[in-house]
Amino acid sequence: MSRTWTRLGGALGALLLLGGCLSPPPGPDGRVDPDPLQGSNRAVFGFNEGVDRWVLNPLAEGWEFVTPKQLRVALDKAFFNLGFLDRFFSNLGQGKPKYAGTETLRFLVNTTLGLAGLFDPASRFGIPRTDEDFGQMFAVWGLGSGPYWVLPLFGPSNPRDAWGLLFDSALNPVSNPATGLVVPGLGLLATVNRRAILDPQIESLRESSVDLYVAVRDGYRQRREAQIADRDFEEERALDGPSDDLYEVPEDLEDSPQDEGGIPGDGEPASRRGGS
Amino acid sequence: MEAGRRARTGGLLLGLAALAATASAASPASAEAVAEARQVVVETVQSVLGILRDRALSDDDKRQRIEQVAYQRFDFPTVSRLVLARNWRRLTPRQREEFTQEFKQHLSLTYGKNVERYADEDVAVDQARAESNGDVTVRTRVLGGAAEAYLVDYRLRRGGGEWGIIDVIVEGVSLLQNFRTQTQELIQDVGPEGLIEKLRKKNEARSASAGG
Repeated sequence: MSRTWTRLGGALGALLLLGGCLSPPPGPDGRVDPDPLQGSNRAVFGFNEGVDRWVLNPLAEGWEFVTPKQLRVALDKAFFNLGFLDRFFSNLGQGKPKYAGTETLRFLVNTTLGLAGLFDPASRFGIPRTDEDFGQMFAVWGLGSGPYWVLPLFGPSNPRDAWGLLFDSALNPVSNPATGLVVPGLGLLATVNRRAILDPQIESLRESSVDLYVAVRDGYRQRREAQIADRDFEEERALDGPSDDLYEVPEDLEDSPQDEGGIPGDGEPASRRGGS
Repeated sequence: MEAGRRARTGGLLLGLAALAATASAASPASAEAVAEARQVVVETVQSVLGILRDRALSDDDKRQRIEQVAYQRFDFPTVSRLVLARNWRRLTPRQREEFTQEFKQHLSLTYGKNVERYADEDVAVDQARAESNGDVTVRTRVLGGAAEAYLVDYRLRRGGGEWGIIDVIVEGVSLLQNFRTQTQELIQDVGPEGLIEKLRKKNEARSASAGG
């Protein structure tokens, strides 16, 4: 695990230095390529899918076979509870001392009454959990995400979130490589347990997508934007949807299919469109 | 994120049922429309949960019934148009028809798949809000699964006197946007015919596995 980390650190450093230069310029048609690293990203994505298929998912299935659901849910809560410091500091760093406070309260309550976090009485007492991390904090500071970047083993990310992940992992005993020396396999157990819990969602995504790679990329982007913006239900109204034209049917949609001249945003130049 | 939302709505976490009653008053003119759309979501959720919990039904029966609910509640012609957006023009009338059909089946299969994954979750229907273009968004929370509770928003549009679902937004991720991105890139790479073919193959494989 820690060797992976060292290597990842090196790669990260290099990429972060390049981060500024990698921000994609708009193309000739004014559109920004959502995925300039697509070639290598798809390769790494394929690798991660392979790891999941041959290693992680079999482990998760075995784990599911030998443990009751309640235990998996409780363990997942306990691992989440251990991520307290990460959420505490990223809340503080975003100027949300109040939520840093509720996180502290949650940690105290759940670690004691909740038996090391296996249970979540804090939620029952009306102390809500927050879902903050260093990638979000950097975004709030004004750091751009940079290009979509699929990390080996860690999955969908971008230079900003990968940088955040370093801090997240250092602050979380479950993923901190040093913990591995004291409690070997803790990080692996947390990962396998989480994989088992999320299995329905992962399976559903695989089945319901026509291009899983693109579905994951777009889902990651949307999810991160929602987490960073932290809008409540009423605030979303002003936004009126994830993108301006998402819910508008273009006026002249019923036109004959033959006219496909230079409509802005109509897609790629004819040369790139494959024949059918 | 959760914290912000809940603290600002000013309520104790568990008093969300009360919120639902007050928050639908988006603007006076459309308050009635908002309530109507919310009711559609309440009924949809109730019928789906009713089917999932019905012990007298076989899994196949359940799946079929849930697919029927999807057929009834989703506005597939509008969803298909919004997914394809400007690419709609690139399709011949026949391709449009085919895409709409395949897409309809794709979504319904996805919806029906809930049968296998259902693990006694409950769904709470919370607030609703009017959007500026006349749509209504209704917030629901899925509770009690293995994973932590999560938010699912339904966006509805009135067409032909009835409210139909045109988007499902899971924790900030719009499925409409997600499908649009996928289809746009596929049309760029393999053209409309390639996209329809891919959907068709996926549907065939899934129907086969769902049936057996």
